[in-house]
Amino acid sequence: MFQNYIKIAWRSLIKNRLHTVINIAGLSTGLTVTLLISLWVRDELTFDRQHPNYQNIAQVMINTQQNGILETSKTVAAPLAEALRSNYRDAFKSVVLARQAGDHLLHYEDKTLRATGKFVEKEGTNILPLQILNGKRDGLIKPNSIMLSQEMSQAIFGETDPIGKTLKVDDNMLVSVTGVYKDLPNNSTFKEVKYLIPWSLLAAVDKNYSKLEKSWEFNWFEIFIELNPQISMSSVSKEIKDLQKNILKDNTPLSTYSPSLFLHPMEKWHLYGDWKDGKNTGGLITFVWLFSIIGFFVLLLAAVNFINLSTAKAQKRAKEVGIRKAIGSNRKQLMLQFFCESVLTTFLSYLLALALAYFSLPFFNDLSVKSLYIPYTDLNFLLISIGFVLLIGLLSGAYPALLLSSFNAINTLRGLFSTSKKMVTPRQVLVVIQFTIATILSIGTIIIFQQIQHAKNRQLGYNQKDLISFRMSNFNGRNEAFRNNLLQTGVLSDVAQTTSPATDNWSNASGFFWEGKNSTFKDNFSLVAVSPDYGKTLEWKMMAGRDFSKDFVSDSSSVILNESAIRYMGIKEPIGKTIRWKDETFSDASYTIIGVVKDLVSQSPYEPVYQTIYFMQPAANFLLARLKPGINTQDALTKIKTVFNKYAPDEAFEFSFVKDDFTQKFSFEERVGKLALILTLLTLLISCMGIFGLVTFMAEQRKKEIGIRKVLGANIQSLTQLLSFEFVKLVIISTLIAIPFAWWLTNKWLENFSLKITISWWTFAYTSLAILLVALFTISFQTVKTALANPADSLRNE
Amino acid sequence: MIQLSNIFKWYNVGGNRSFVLKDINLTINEGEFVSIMGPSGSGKSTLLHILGLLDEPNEGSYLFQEQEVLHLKEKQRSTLYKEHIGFVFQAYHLIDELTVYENIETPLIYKNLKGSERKAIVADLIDRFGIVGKKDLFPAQLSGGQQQLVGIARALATTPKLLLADEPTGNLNSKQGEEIMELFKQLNQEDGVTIIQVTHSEKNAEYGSRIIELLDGQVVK
Ligand SMILES: Nc1ncnc2c1ncn2[C@@H]1O[C@H](COP(=O)(O)OP(=O)(O)O)[C@@H](O)[C@H]1O
Ligand SMILES: [Mg+2]
Repeated sequence: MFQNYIKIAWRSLIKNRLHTVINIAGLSTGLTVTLLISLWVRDELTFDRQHPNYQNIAQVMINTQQNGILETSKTVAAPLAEALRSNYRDAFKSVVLARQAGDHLLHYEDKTLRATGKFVEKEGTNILPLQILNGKRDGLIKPNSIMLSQEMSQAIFGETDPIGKTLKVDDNMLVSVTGVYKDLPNNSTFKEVKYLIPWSLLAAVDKNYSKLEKSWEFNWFEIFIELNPQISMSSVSKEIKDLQKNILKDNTPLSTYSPSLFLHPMEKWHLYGDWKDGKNTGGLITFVWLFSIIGFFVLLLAAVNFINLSTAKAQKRAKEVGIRKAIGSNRKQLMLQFFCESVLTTFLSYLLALALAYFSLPFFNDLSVKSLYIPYTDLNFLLISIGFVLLIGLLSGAYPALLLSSFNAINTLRGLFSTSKKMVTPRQVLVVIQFTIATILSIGTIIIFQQIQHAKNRQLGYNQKDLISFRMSNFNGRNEAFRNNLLQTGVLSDVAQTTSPATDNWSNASGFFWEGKNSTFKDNFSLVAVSPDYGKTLEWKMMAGRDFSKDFVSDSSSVILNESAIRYMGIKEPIGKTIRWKDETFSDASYTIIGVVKDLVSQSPYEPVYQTIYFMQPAANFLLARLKPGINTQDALTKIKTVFNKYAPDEAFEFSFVKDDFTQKFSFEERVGKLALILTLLTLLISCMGIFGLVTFMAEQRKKEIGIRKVLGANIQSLTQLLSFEFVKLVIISTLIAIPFAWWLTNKWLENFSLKITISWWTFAYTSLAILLVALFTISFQTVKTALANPADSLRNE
Repeated sequence: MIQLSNIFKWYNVGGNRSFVLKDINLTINEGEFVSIMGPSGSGKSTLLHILGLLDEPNEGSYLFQEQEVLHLKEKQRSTLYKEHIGFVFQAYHLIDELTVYENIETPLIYKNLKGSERKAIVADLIDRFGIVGKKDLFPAQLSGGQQQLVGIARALATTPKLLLADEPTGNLNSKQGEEIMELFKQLNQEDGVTIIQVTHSEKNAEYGSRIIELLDGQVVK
């Protein structure tokens, strides 16, 4: 019985070849998109779920009052860990203080590697989702120990057993390997942590740390907690709220920040990472929703095609329905047959979609920066797939099945059957839905790219061309010699040192005073310490005053401010004015403003430039060098490396082009843009396949009418117009519906950016026009063919 | 077997009732072979469709084997039809996508017969109709007469008590027509199948035991 339905369904698919091809092509495209998006969503939703106790783990976060705004921070002061431990003994199984993951150099024999790792207290090994491959789980008990990821162990020791081997970390930390853990998965917040070092080692080797550990002033550290079983996360989160405020009392200046603490559960770290006014405002979860909705809509579009084409074919199939009824089929059996056809089509499309997904995964992974795979052998995946195919097959087959099986046997056999008006309307509605979505996506994509371009066109305030950047150590007074050596290679036109890379700001500070500053104003500046050649090397633009110079001994207490800083401070005539920096722990000094520089875009290209103070000091983390124009890059880099190795024999020379670093800042938006572009093209493709199918069947239905019109003297142009108008009308209606939606959505998206384009009406006009042309082009194949057809043929066939 | 009383059938054409059947009263007994004749448009097909439960009259009563069949639910009607009635069309109406074998098999599938039973029945019919060599061909590969044989074989597959045929020989040449009529006669006499056929040919009508003449929706003889 069932076999029979499948057989008939199969034959019917073969017989209506064009129809089947359009159907399967459209549906498999939709299914591929849905499949890829599902894999992505699944990956996002399983973020940080590796730890068996993930529901009991949280990070301690802090809200502080800054100039009337609640700022939320993941980093807190170190003494808080001890305070939490002693005040809430019952609640916490462990409280772990950690330093943010950072880069360090690992030396073993003649090897040196720069890698990202984390300093954590010994119980940190229970908080990170570690799978121990070799050695001990609690490997951080002794201060001089290190635990390595498998990748790290492989890179340093190859196949030899690393346990007990001694490494040197940076200049002065000797540690011995106590454990190796499986590389943390991509969907873990800790994925970049390649090694763990006990926190206690920090204080042992760095005297600053023993100071920091006791200071409430520096919110520089992370605290992770694991709750005891049966303790409620939300109630503990409320209980600890005022702990820090109560400890600090009202009299210290720090309490004016009115710190309030709370717990951010591990399962929310990844998807709910945005904060505003001390409240969580979501985060990546928006994208999970967005893509789920898009995936749903793409699938909907494909299903709509299926429904549209099946009902359009109704007339052709009416006779078959009549015969089947006349030889004893009841309605249920007929519906079953049509369902078999739709499920079979869906099944074939799904197989094709699996293949398409398989081949597009590398590209998709690249785009989404993930390592997704299709879990073919996973039983759940197979079950879900089968359920999904059935569901889509049944849903998209339902309307055609109901419609086709309802035909009256006698009328259809008599040939009295004709497509009634009531069948046309739903199909038109469906086409309108398709094109509305396609138009919204098209406009959205164009706006995304316009916004990215807008940010890229921004005046940077310096010249990125041929500028390279690499990390360097502080060569204890030999910096000037290093610079001269580099210049002697003849490949560089200038060289400068700085504490922050050209495309970021690494240091911020408060506690500045200047003439006219309001005493309640809580200031904050970016600080960059640079060598005197910095401005020349970057080619920044002085707006007032002068650049730093070696010739002025006093320049060690001079500063240059950017224009934003001048506006922020509200100083008139800044040159020659004095600012004072008084900071509780480290400094109390006065500086003279000698120059104002045009804003350098170093952080987000979408945000206004932050108020920045440039100091002339020998401290350095980075070296910026401009290659002479037209020089062979490879050759130049070899020469630079030779000099670098002379000064830092055991450091790795890792350089980057500033332009590339800057381009990185667009990568997220560009990825979103590319993804949107692909989805837009697919949506358009599916929609066009839809109208192509429809126009094919419409042409068939109106063959006789066209024949008669031709006999009556209609010309080809007027006939093509007649046939096209139906669809043009629908596309225009879609555009009118889509534009307000697109307007609203794109404006909403642009709210994320401080510097943004103003949306212009022609974007909408041109996009709509383009879509109309694409639609016209699609249907023209069929309309022209029909209009050209010999009327004698079409009339005889009737 | 069949009793029609006061059957009316009309269509609303431009607000007016246009009658197709007017007050039809008719009794047909089991084992009869009836021919319906009349000019084109007189309502013959309509009457046949009503008899075959494919269409419903607007008024009147229809007793099929002493059971009132009008206003039955679609499912009951379908069951009744599947059990007792076979239909043969002038235009054969075979399913183009199916082979000869499968066309004949289809009503049995709808009757939920097992595969082995179906096989036996279809093989038997194919044998009897002498179309063994054609069983894997598709309708388009057959001549009109052959197609009609398949159509009849299909109608007979469910061993109906009542065979309805609407101008079964209308598209055939006279020799093919005669063969079909012989077949009907044989079915009627040897298997006791009640047959009602619509025909334009006096000669074919003579094969039956009774002739009913329709004119403008009324029985005139
Ligand atoms: N759906 C319909 N709407 C209006 N009139 C119809 C319809 N179906 C059949 N008729 C009319 O009913 C009459 C009888 O048709 P039919 O039973 O096919 O006649 P016959 O088979 O005797 O040629 C015809 O005049 C035809 O026009
Ligand atoms: Mg007729």
